Amino acid sequence: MENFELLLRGFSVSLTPINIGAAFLGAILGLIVGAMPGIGSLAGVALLLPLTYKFNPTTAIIMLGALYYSNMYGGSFSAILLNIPGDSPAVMTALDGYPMAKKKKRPGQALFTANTASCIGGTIGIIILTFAGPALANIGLKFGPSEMTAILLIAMTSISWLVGENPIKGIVITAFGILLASMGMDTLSGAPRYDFGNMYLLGGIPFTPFVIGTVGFSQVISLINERNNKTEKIDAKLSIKGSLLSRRELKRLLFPSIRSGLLGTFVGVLPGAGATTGSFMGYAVQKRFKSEEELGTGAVEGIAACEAANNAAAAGSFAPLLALGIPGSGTGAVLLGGLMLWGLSPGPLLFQNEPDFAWGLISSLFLSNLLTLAVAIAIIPFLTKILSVPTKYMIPIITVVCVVGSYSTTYSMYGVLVMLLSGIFGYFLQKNDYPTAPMLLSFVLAPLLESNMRKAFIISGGSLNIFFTRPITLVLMLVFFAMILIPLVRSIINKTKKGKVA
Amino acid sequence: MTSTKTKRLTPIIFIVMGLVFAYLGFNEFGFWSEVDGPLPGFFPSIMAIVMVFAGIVSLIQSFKDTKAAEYNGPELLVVAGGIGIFVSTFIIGLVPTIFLYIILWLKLYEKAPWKPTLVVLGVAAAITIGVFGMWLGIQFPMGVFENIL
Repeated sequence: MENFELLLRGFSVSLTPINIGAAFLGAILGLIVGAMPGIGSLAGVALLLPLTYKFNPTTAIIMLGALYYSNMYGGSFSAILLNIPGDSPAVMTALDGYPMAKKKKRPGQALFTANTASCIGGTIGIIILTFAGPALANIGLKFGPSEMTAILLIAMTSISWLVGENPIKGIVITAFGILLASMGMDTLSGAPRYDFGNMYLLGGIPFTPFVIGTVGFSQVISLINERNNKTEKIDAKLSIKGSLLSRRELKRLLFPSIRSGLLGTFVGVLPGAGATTGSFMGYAVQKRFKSEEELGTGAVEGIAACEAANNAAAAGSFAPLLALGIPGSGTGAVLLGGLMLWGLSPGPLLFQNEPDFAWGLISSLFLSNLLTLAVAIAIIPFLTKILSVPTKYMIPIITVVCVVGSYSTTYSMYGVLVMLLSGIFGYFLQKNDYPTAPMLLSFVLAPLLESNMRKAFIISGGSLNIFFTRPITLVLMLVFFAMILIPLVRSIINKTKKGKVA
Repeated sequence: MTSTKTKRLTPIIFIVMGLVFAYLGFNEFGFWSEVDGPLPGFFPSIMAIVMVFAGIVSLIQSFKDTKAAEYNGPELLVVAGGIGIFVSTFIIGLVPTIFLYIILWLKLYEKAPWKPTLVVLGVAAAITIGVFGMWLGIQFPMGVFENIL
């Protein structure tokens, strides 16, 4: 009940004209960025981060939250109409969305199914977030430096293992992100370190240009190969009226959406899992249930299951982000970095110290969910036009956004230089199969991990016992070691088996 | 253009970086004090050592990796475009550089007709001047003209 009252208070924050406008703008931009194949939510949020500097922290994060959230909707557009997922969570949507649009010649209904299921899944996710967020924060209040160290290690490890095929490369890149973050000033004493005598490095590596380069500019470099790709477009003229679903179809999408909404939220709360895993799991679970048509042939249930799951996961991922300060994905890391830029410290105390912000953001997600649904339906008639913008014209525009955005955050060409160097390095890493998401996550979390780890050692007088004698820390450390050892042992067993077969 | 060498070069870069960070951490910034506990070099040094060891494993793995990294000419052209924007900004300023870049890119490389080129220019102008310049109030560098005007 108390949460409900706080949520209502949050609505008084989010329902101001400027915040509604910011959420609306975020919804539109998120839908467009999400629909553009090859850009994705991570690059989208990174590229649009400088735009939010105009606003106060609450409005800025409301806009970014809406943008991230609406990206999940937008990703399905190109998956359904072009068979090219706009983002990785929409990969599963293409399996049924494209056949429904192409073979059954019902693109409007496929889009409507995706939008409705996204709204249902998202609503479930946000309702659970409303109750789980503060509950998680209450648990977090009992955490000391040793527990926080263990939980941050789990967060970093989980994303290193889950992103990319090679866990060793994940560890290398995580450590690299931490070292980059350690340049500039020491987090506790403020003493300069790793500045190599350079005045600019004394302030550390600026977050926004670094992120824009790593995920934005490197993406532009990769996009050049796709600029002449021919896609199979749906030629049908789309209208809102012609896209409406029948009552029977609405019934068909309801239960898969609710089921996937619950599952997706749970997946979203887990560190490192995120919307893509949620979408895959939602689809996999739907396969075990009865669908009116076979999945993969354009079934309403197939589209609904993965779309509801990925939106619910996106909402669920806000729970650990706000309550513990732990992002579940690369995009979450960029959002966390954004929060820190505005002087906010997500974590157990956020709900106590900044209730207007925390509840304003949660309530704005309800608002964004409805606004995004409205915008997503309203733009159905224009979608074929939006998606027909050739990639070759997008490349110079994104490059310009990267350059101007990086300049605007530092007011110097140093920002542009950081963006270019991190973009080139990000491209080089991608080419050599190193995932960049763990680097971003560790770059953001490193100061928090370092200060907690050092505080834990100061408390224990330098003894490692503090990590193994406190019950919660012990459990968390066991989880951490299990996460490191299980994939290694499994990989050794697999290799031994393969060796025996050969 | 393909290269298997960069798959080996990348972990070597990480190993060298790790060694430099560990050396500086232990020797310049300090690892541990009996009085104050962990010093500024404590955490980065540990991470640097982790990176060195993981880098060595990654280097060993790279010898088994037969799939070469592919580098295409157009990709490097995007990089060159970015560097060109950076250098040119110091001469003619950021906004003119952006317009020049778009025209050169679309007309010379993409061989695009004037109509879409002008549309892209319009979008870029709206973003640069409209959003960043007027709305966010960013003053862009003007290159050598800064001193003249």
